[in-house]
Amino acid sequence: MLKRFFMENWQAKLMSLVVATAVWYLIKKNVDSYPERWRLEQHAPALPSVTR
Amino acid sequence: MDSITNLLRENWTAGLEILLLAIAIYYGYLYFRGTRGAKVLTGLAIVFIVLTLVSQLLNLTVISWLLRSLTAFIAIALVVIFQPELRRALAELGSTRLFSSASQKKENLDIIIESVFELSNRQTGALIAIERDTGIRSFAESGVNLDSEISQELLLTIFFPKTPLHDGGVVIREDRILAAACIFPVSQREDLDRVFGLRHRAGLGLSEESDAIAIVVSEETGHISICHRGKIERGFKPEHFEKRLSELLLHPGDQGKTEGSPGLSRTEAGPVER
Repeated sequence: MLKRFFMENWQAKLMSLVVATAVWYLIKKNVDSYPERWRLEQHAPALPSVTR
Repeated sequence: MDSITNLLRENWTAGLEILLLAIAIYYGYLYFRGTRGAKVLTGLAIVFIVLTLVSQLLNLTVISWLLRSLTAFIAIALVVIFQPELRRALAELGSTRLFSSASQKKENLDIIIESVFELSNRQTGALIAIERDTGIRSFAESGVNLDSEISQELLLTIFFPKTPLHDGGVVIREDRILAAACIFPVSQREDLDRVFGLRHRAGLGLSEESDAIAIVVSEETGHISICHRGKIERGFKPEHFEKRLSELLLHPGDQGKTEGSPGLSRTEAGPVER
């Protein structure tokens, strides 16, 4: 059953994986290059102000 | 071994993202495969991915800017191009057809089988294609759209000689008759027996281009044939036809088990599975 799952229509599945990897790489590179455009920059958690 | 484990531990989110993307792309491809807009989508995707890769690798800023600016327009263009498919997909998602039970499937199969027997008894030529995983919508769109429930009366009426819809094939998807008088691709194989006419060749041609099952009833002899995966099986007796069709449609995983079993009276025109 597992063999059938992988072997059936394998060209299309392989192609999907290749395209998905390419798309993921492109998006990832873009996000890493311009984090401000994607608004994914990590802010340091705001610490409560210490009042005396 | 440790390095592989570390690599997996550090990059499992990336792997999961790629896997999810691949699943979405694969099912999107399966859905749009049989449609008219599929070639447009494939062409656009190839151009877009290649251009983006090249511009990223060679750091072509102008091309990158152009691609970024065009993305929104391409997204709108895709919605316009695939408007019928998207509407249908949303409609299917909202209907209960996706969740049809095994008993419903069996019921529909019984209607098809009874109709085929009746057509065979009357020696009325018929060509019925049953869609499976790969879409055959482009062929359905070549005919007259029906989108009606499966019934014996309707199938007999469609194939009644000299009626406008009797020439061509019927496309069945899930529990609906999608279209009638559809044009299927004719098989170009030269090793076929000369007794096979255009109807058989069209059934075989469809099975070569998709995983659909085509049932052919000969107008001359009333014999029933089944075409699937580029092969044609013919000379079915009623009980064997029912058994074989159930195997192919209800238990697709077991379809190879009874091929060539002595109980079935049939011959295969296609020596090699395509």
